[in-house]
Amino acid sequence: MKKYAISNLLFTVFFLALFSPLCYLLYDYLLNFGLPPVAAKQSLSETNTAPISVYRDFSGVEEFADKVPVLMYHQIIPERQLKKQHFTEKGDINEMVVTLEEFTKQMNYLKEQNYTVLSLKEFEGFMTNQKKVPAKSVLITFDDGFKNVFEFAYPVLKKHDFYAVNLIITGLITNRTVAYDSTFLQYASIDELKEATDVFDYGNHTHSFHQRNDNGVSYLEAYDREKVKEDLTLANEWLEHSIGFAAPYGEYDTTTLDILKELNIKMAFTVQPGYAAPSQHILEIPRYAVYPFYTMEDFIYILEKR
Amino acid sequence: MMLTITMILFCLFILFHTLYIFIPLYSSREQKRVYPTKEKGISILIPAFNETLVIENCLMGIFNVDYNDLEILFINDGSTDDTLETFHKHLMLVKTSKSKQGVLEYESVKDVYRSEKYPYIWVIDKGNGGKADALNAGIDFAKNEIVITLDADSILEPNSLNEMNLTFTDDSVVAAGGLVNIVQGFKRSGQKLIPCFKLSGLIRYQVVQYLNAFYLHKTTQSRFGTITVIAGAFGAFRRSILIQAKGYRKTVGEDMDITLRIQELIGTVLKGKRIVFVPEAVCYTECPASFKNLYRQRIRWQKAFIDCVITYRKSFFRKMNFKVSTYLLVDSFLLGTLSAYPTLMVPIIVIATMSHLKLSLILLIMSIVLAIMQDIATLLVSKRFGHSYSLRDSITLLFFLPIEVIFFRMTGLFFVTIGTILYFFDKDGWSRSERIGQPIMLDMGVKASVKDTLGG
Repeated sequence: MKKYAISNLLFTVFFLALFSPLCYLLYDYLLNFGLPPVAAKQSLSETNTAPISVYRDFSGVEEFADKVPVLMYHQIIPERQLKKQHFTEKGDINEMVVTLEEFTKQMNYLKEQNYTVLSLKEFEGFMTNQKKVPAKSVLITFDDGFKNVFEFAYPVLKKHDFYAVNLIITGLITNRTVAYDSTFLQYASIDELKEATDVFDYGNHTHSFHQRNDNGVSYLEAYDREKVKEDLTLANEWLEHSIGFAAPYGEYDTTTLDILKELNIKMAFTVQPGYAAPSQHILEIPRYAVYPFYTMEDFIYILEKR
Repeated sequence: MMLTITMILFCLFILFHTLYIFIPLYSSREQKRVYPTKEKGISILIPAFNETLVIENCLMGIFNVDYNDLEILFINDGSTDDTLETFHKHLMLVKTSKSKQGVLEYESVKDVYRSEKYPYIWVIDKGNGGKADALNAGIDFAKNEIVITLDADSILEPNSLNEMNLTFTDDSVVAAGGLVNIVQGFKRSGQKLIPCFKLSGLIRYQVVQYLNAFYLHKTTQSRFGTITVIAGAFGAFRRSILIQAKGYRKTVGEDMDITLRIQELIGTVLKGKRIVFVPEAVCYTECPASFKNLYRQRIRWQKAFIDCVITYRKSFFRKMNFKVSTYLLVDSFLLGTLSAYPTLMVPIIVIATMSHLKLSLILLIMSIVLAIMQDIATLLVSKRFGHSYSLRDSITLLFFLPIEVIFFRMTGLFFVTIGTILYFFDKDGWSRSERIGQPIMLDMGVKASVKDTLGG
């Protein structure tokens, strides 16, 4: 009716102005929660991000390292946010998880003891005998690209001006940044990757081959050469600047190494414990996994055993 | 899974309540009303059980009504107080007889009286049988085509019967509900009642709720043909349909029961007929003034509702048409009753687990905003029907709305949950609202002269 057109219009506008932001909030919340994450539409190569170019001059240092420990982490979660799925049946913390509290202590120790935390580029220099690094040097790596690493480990590393290598499964990087919830196994988003380039170098952990087939054989070993190469190429193109690689589960064969050479990947990490030294095969660099049950003494032991 | 269910329910809730806002807002009504010159005969039925306090008010309303072809039947349902004496006092009753159809069953009628002074008023004195039983007796004795049922404390607005007459000129209308206002929410100014908001919180809440229920909900339901309750305080029916529905059933909520019975008929043998709501036909009724009485009333309503859902459970989607069944089961039952339980649980769960805190907050704020917007729409729509408050009252009202939404609606949830549980323990406890008998219709001068006329 014409008579009420204005009041109706005013009311409707007012209603929409109040209600649509609320609807959007709800929609946003549900996207964060209810729906499964969607793979990133954009790849890191399209984002104009540069790898860390830090290449410090260590020439004044008294003692140089002949071998460097490489630390391997997967997930970093604050203790009080640990959920049932983060524990084994026996009640121990899952081996893939290190609590934020422990991680912080470990990083603080590195800082206090004046450890040099190497950038990937410096580490490459060390491995190829082009650069000498201080005796107390260490390389930190994270596997898989979990969101909690960005959420919790990143601020700690940044605070100490540390660097680290994040070996990510590129196909699992999500399109939207969502609220962190330890109930779910969340992977990082493309935006989170972009924002963390001041601390992280990204490495190749396959695009979609972080899986095992029905017989329990990892995809890298199960699939033929062409398929594997295709997947690793995809991940490398996605990352653009990647010079590092780690095989899922640490399971690979000589064919994998051949492919890595073809793809011009400079360094590849294993899960075999041991120290990295230039004398070693650069595509089979050993790493020390840091486990949740490690005490500070265990951690220091790894660093200083040499 | 829980999240999905919650979201589906919530979306339904938002959908229904948005409709309740926008349908009435954008429904156009004829402004200039042309009343038919021919008055259809109307019989008004007023069951009275121990109503001494309010009879005078009721009579006053009737004397004020601007309608000629009218008969009024008071049915004294075996009152144990002075109800019958009060009738005698005011009406100069004489024993007589009245023809009846004998199509319905009810407790035996002792005597039929007719007023010498007002020959269109009759009093049927019968044995106690409850409200439904009294109404059945009234239907049986009524001679006119249109039957209007009132509560003893209902006061008709002078023009209300003309509106009903107009409504029933449409042959597809078989029953119509009038607008029920709370009499405490008005003050008298000259010959007119004007809305006033200087009231206690409890009555304010009911005033807003009635306005909301009638101007928004009933208007929307009327438009979709999904009216499931014609309020017992003011209902109008074609007599034939009441007889076809075999009269009223003895139950806690006979008004909802008869409406659903008519909906069954519409869904089966009377396709195309309608039940409508007439916002221009106004009556005034008292609402409970104390929390205790409000509690009793609401528990009774909820029991009545559950009783009807259970009684008609096999009729939904079979005898009743899709729209009515969906409305009743989804909006009234699922959202109105069942959701109340999880809603009350939500705060406990959220606080205990500290999860979904943000979601709960968003949903809560959305509900509150929607409810307040609905209240504002209520005020807009009711203003268009002439129910407008003074500026001061309007401001008071606006400040009252958040309180109403947050505090009183919670109380509503409480009534619904308790009422539903109590139904299964105590089905037959029907007690009615306490009557106050405030002589609101009368200012002192008029009252005195009325007393003279009434011979009191």
